[in-house]
Amino acid sequence: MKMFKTAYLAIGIVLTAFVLALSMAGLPSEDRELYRSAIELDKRAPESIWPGLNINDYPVAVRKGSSEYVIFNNDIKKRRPVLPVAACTAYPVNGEMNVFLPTKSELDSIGQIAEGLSSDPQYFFLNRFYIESKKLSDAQYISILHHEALHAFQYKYFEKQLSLMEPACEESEIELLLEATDNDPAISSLDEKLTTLLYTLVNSQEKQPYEDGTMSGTKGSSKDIAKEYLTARKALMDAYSAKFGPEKAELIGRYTDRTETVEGTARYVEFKTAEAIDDKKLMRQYLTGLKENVKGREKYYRSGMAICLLLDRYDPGWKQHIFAGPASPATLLEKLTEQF
Amino acid sequence: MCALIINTFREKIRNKTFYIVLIIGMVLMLVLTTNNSHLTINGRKVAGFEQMVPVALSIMGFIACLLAIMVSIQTIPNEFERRTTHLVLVRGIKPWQYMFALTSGNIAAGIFCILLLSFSLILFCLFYGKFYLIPSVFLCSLLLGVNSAFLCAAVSVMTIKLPVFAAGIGGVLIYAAGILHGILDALAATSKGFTAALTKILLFFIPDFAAIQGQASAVLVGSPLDLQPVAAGLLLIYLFLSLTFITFRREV
Repeated sequence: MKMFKTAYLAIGIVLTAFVLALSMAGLPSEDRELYRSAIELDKRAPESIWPGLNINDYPVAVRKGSSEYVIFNNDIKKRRPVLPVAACTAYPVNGEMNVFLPTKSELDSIGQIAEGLSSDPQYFFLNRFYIESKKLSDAQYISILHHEALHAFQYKYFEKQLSLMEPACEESEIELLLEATDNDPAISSLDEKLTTLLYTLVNSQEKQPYEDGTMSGTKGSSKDIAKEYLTARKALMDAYSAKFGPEKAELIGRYTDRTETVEGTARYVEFKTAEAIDDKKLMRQYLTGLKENVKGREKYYRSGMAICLLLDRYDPGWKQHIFAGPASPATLLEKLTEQF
Repeated sequence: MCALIINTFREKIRNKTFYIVLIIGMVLMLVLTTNNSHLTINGRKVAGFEQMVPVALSIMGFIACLLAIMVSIQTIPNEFERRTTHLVLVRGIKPWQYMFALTSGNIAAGIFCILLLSFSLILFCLFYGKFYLIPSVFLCSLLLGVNSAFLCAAVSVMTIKLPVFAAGIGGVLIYAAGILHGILDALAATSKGFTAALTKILLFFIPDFAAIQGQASAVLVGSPLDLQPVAAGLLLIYLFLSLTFITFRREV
């Protein structure tokens, strides 16, 4: 019996050591490879995604379970997670902007949750029994990395300017207002009109939308739609004012402008990353997403991205001064349409 | 103790229900994976060997886990019901040795069941003309056996203290948590508070069944192996098996 106990204990020690050794192996090679691809993309196509944006300039903290691997200056360091929860974001650590992201496999799981909750829950559970269920593509992960890197860039160089755009109220108050706007049939119908106009505008000028990955076409035909869009946008502001009063309407307006500036540009960066990678399927996914009538904050991500794509067409140098103003993408578009 | 393990194992594999479920599972797996004209997942038609491997292993894993719960749920309660416990203990066998042997016998039966199921996997490989993969089938089955063995150990330990139906529900919940491990982990990582902390603790004690199935699939399709989930699964089996040293019923 003594021998059994010794052998049993030895098996336990070996197993524990094996598990510890495997868990200390560090950042999965898949994530290291994705980071390397993102850096190579920045080198291969400098300035094509966003002028001055280089992932290499920021420590990228990739979270795996209860550890975080910080990739910076050709080095990977392990640390305890800085944020209480896993998230895709940019946040200052010891005075330096860090980009935060879960590992690809963890982001896949989060994506599956979102996918499952937004589609048929039964289908979602059935999918779990199938091993290779829906996952993020490598290009999507690299796009998200660029999205968060743009936030780091925004807050490193333009924090003061962007803070001027913040609405003077709590986020929760805005959330309640947004919920109320989403539930109002008249406002929702105006929102739908805006979505359709933007989608038409973005896709109007291309002979074959993004088939060759470029933004070819002429300015002329979309001018009227652009003006119609801006008029509809003003009508929406009037509808806010009629429903909530001018003060609250101004809050929603500021929130819209700020979200389109901060998040819309970041979503635009995701699209430009897909374009730089030449992933046509992903590009199409972003573009077709523009015609969906989404609710809440997400709609400003999409409208912001769409306006940025229009600015590319009308004023290719717009990225140099968008955050310095600060001016929202919609304000820039408005100024440009005045020159039509 | 070895005799006790062998006896438990023999008794388990003599059960007719065990073979009925096993044959149904094998037939179901073969019908679904060799008749590829109807199966669609994520709106895409699933066809060909590489795409069918995960489907085949998912079905096999599911049947194996179902059988693992079936074989383990009655073993220990039956011993108490039949009063064989007293007969064994008066012969100088300690309670922990007895519980350990019964649980080990259940684990052996669970692994035996996955090895039997691997015959359907061999037929599956033969159907697709992959004769050279037959040796890999055994490694693949052993990897899947980690999930079954864990369920056997967990359900057996639960039956020492809990009523049969509660242990059965517990087994099913463990299986669900194991399959949804990655998702629940991500949910817990993106939330704060008591529930998130509790989920993290519970998941720490349950292997990632889907990840282990993924490694079994990797063996067959020739992808690189990640041994971490498998090693974690083995350690958890060890941990649950060790619980038999300290878990007793008053009757013992």
